[in-house]
Amino acid sequence: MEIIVKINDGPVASSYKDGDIVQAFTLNEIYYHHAQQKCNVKNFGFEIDGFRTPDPLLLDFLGKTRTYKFERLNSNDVKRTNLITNQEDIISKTRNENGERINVYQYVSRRIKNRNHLIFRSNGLEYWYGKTRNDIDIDSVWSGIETYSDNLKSEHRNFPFSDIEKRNFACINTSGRNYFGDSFTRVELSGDTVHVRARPAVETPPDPEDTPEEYDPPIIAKRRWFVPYWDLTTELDSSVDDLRNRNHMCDCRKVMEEREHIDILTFDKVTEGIISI
Amino acid sequence: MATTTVSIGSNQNIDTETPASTVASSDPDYTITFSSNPNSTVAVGDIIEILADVGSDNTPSSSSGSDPYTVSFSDSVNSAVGIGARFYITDPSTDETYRYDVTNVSGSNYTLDYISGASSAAAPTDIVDEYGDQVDGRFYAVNTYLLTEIDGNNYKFKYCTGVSSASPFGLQTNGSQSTATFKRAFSTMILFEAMIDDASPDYWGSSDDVVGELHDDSDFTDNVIDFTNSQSLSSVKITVNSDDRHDGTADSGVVLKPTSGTGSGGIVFRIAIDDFTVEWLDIDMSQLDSTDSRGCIALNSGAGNATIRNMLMHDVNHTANTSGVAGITSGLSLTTSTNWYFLNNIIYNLEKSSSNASASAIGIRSFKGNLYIYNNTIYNITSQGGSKDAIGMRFGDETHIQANIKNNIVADLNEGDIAAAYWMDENPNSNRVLNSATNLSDNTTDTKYNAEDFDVNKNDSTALTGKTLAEIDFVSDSGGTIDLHLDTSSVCLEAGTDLGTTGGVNIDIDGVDRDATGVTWDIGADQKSTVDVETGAAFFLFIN
Repeated sequence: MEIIVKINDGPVASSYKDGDIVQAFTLNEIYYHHAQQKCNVKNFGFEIDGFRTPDPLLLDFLGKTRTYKFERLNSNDVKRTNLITNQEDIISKTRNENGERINVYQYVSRRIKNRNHLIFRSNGLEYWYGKTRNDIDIDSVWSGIETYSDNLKSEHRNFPFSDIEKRNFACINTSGRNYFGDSFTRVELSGDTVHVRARPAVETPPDPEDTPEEYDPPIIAKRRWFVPYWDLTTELDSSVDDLRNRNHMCDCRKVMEEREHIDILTFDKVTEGIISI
Repeated sequence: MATTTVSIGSNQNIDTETPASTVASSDPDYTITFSSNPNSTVAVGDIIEILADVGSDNTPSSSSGSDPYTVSFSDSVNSAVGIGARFYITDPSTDETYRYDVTNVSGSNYTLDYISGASSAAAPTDIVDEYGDQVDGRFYAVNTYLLTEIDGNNYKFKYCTGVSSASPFGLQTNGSQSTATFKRAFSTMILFEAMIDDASPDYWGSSDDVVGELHDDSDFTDNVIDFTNSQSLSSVKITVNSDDRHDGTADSGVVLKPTSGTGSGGIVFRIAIDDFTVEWLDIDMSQLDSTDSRGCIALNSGAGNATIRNMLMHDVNHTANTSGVAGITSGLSLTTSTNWYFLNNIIYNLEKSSSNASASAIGIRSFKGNLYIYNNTIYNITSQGGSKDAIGMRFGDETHIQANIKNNIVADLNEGDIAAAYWMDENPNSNRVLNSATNLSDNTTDTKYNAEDFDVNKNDSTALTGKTLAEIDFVSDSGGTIDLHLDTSSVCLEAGTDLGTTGGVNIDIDGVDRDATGVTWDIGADQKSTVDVETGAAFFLFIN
């Protein structure tokens, strides 16, 4: 888990405050950002007919991150394969029983005008992938990347924060713990444990079943969780002066074995009595 | 007013090049060439990082650890020396120069990672002269510049931070011209927003028009982007680099696909500052079904003039609570002089599939200003529950409005109660003006809410009503490969009204300039009738 923390108060009451956790990322999200960069369409060329080169790295990535594969069968018909369930059906100019149709000629003609298109061609017939999955198996994605390129998953464990961000914010990573008696091992954190750290503080919402249709709870503070980095210079290995010096690039991220526990670094402003909701 | 563009994307190693000559040598217009041209992914708004001589030597005084070494110095180190800096020191007995990279700074302790020199690592404190005295070394720290213009082989930069504001050409590292590494200025939209919120930005002027230009390096996963303060900036725009814009279909350009809920009202992109534009972004809500996230864009307290154009907003399937689903939503009334432009957007697949609530592509009932809803395509809006409504657009519930609603398509409404393609809440009068023309509603719309009547008996004779999906004729409405461009038999072809260039409405969802072609406008976000006009497309193929 990585977090990026505001340094110094913003100028007005509704601004970010010193120490606010501006954004948080799970390790899988970080891996996926890097995987997308490795498999970015711009890294792959075209065949002489203008269709995308069916590079095995790109095809493996699309096959593991998209829900459907579409294969043109003739001038009208397209086979749609659900890559998760392996179910197949045909869509065409004539509406199917679900009311769906496609004009594949128009569809393909328009796509290939985009220089970043992902339309491939095999034996004179086009194929493409559609609808990004919600449950991507990032280990499998990276297995493919390691198979088809020289990139290693283990070297892509940090979110690619920009240098401007490293000068103006504090980049920090943290961990959870699995205890075995008195000893523990550090573990990655995921899900809401991570994401809740970067959310605003809002008024307590009503019961979900009574929520008004356009409910928009008043924001009490731009962020609810913060890192009191000014009290954690030892844990972060950076001085307050260094962190607050915009002319000076800092990065407090560490290898897993040296990371502090999330409860040592992050605090809830409500629990701490700084704000009330 | 000056315009400053900064890039936003996750690529932090776009290219590395060596400055070769200078064309102009005064900040903020340092113009240089490179020994070879940077690759095409480099864009205005990127930054370069380049090492600069700090100007004086430093003497290591103590060292601990093995490589990397924690080193302190007997004299003051330039405050610009941080991560990314380098330290060079030459052994006088061998003439070998050691290079160390600074990997951390903690107070007066510098973590130096041995990179090269001699045959193996040595601590800087071990490098002494013939008398055993410590040898001085030299730091080179990172200067950051913003790329402000590309003109042929000439690249113009503005100094931002670092050692000193010298031209990138001429900066040296250990006696050689330093190389420049191109990077994106920001990695996420939230961090860009956090800098917009900042009081003293280093990267733009305090009253600039600031443009955040998104790049398709990887999907943006920001869960809630909330522009709440812009200090004294004249305007803020979120756009997409011209090489990375979508082609009117999902996942073909820059995608915002949040991976977690907002925790704050459920709208992912929130505008609460004046003079704001967002364009060309593809907001995919499909990963948020069970979260509180229920909509794409909200105009909240603090918002003023706003433009939302050439966007894709799609695949909301909200189940978490009884909040309604929304494409664009606002409860603001604002002033009669405020302008809102919603132009050439495609909004589709907004569904409330459990917990009863309505669904609206555009729901801005209270707005009192000048409203321009032109050439949008709205498709498949589904409410949940017998008393809940499926709505294309709803507006006009206040004392004033100047509503201009033209050339829109609203189709496939699936409702429990009302199916309203076009819904004006109060009857028009001298303060509530409804200018409508050539809108289309399909046969799923309740008659009184169709493109002709707007629930106020507008009786617009230019409207196209009761059309079937076959008559509208989208290229594909098949799951997983939706393409809401117009197909060859569409009743929308050349059935629209020429709206000039108001707010940029002439630029369709593919970037086609309707106004420049002289062809009759189509209805909806796509100008199919000029589809053969080239707009930067790379390829022309004949396929069948």
